[in-house]
Amino acid sequence: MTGSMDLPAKGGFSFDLCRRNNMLEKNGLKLPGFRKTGTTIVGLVFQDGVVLGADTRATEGPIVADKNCEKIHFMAPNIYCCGAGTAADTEAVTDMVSSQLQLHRYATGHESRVVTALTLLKSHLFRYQGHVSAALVLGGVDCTGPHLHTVYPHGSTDTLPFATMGSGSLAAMSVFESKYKEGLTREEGIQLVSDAICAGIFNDLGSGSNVDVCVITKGKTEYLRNHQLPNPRTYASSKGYSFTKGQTEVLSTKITPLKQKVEVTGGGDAMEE
Amino acid sequence: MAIADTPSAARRCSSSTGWRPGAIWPYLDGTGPSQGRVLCSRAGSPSSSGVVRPSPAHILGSDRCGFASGGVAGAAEAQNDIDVLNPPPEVEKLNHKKELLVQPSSSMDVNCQRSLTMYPCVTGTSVIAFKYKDGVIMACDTGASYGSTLRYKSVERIKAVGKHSLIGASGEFSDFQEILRYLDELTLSDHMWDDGNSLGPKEIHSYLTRVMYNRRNKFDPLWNSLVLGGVKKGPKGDEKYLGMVNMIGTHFEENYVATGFGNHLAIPILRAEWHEDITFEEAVKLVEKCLLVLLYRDRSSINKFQIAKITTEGPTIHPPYSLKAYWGFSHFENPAQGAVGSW
Repeated sequence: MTGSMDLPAKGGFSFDLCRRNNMLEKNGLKLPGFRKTGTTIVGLVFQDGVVLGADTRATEGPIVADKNCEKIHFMAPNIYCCGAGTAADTEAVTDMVSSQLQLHRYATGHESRVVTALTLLKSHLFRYQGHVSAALVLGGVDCTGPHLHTVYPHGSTDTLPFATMGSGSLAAMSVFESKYKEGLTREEGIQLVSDAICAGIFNDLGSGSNVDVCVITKGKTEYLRNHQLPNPRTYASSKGYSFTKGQTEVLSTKITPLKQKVEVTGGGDAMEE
Repeated sequence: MAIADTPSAARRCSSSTGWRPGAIWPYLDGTGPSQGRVLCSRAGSPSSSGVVRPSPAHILGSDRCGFASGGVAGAAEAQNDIDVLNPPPEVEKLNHKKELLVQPSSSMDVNCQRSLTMYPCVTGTSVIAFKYKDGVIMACDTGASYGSTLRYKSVERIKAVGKHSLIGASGEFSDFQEILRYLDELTLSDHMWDDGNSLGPKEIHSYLTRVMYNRRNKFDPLWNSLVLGGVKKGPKGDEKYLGMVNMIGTHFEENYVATGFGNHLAIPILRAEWHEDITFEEAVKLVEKCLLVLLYRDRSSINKFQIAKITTEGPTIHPPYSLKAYWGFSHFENPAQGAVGSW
């Protein structure tokens, strides 16, 4: 009969607590904030494969929480994924799909395809109706060729020759729209991706620090961690600091000797056993 | 007719301080909207200088205000003492009231003929400008949207001001037209001095900053971002000037500026590729690069642009033209080629 057992057997997100959360928020509860990546992530297709790029700054509101984080996540040996949005969500979702792809590889014995990763990601994100705040740029090369996709938090995807996501996406997109053409070489591709990420780093407050690049071609993947470091610490001296005697001028000297001995009068209490 | 006869009149007399809705205050630098013109209030988008009523001297009595009723300051003083929320019927009859088909949704009383700017109605999108070798180049598209409808497709959002400057505006178009009227009055009264001197871009920028900031302080902004560029002979030779003011009065001077979406899409390109003494041909190529990106990525942009330049010879506004957009990427042809049937 209609009892409490009409929940589906598996799967499905229970939205019961959402109503309670909304009610609490309306009554003045401040929900905890979360660390976002406030990012610039880009990808483009060049003649032999795909180049992905990302900045390395993770922000928590106005503060830089991690100045050299990794935003290019491993999905499969031939597929990598850049993540923007809530850092926990992008990490968890890419890890989860990466494990699912590994299991699938064991089952089939073949190299993973980019569309497999894409479908797993978009089904998961759609089921969570945008509450998993992960905006991803997924790229890889498989037996059907190079592929580049963007995945939005609500589960929609695009297949594009060049893509940008994150808060710095407009700055990076302006570089891509003005300079991208088909059939780029590897060096041109890496240069264009670095230019786009640098545009995001220097023109967007949510992006900063260094440039990570990942080049995926048929049979080979190169992860160039910190490919460019356009924000060096300029004040640190590489030779170290030395403060030799005589560098500071001594104006006057006064020496007050401390008492060498202290007399203890009266017996102290013996320590308790 | 003595003024303090009725209690309501007494109330009016006593409330001579404090801000009242509808009061017309002259601007701090002495200029102000010229009194005596009767303007109508439009539903939703207010006339920017509010409604100005003719000075009803017979109501206030000549002994009330010590000013001649014809002067600007006199008229302003006279307006301040009218109780706007409960105006006397004689004043009401004198006023030109436009029939409002749509009730304004302002926070003020409907009887009040001046409502504060709540939202813009007809808006223009980005303007980009930068200094080049001979002067300043400015460009924008010629579209104006009414909400999400592209209503007007041949709108000139860049105009010359005097001999030395160009002004470009994004945001509410009616406020831009009003600003042009203020600038007309300004340049005209400056011309009437007939002293051989003319207003340069620095002066116009300063005037616009004051106008925008004072309007913002009255919670009735002119909903625009203005770009002001020009060249004028100064003590160090020909001095190029480029500045920007926005609706809250923030102003600055820079070598390259952009409003609206141009801030996000065009400024990164300009920061990377602008350099001092860029030639006109290179400048046009750079401008077209930025305009093309805006065309691709700004939803309210149209493919019809105007480029204007100002040099020591004067302002030139070129006729509008279109840019060629490229849609031939192979990935656009068959996006699902990797997996037929996927979505």
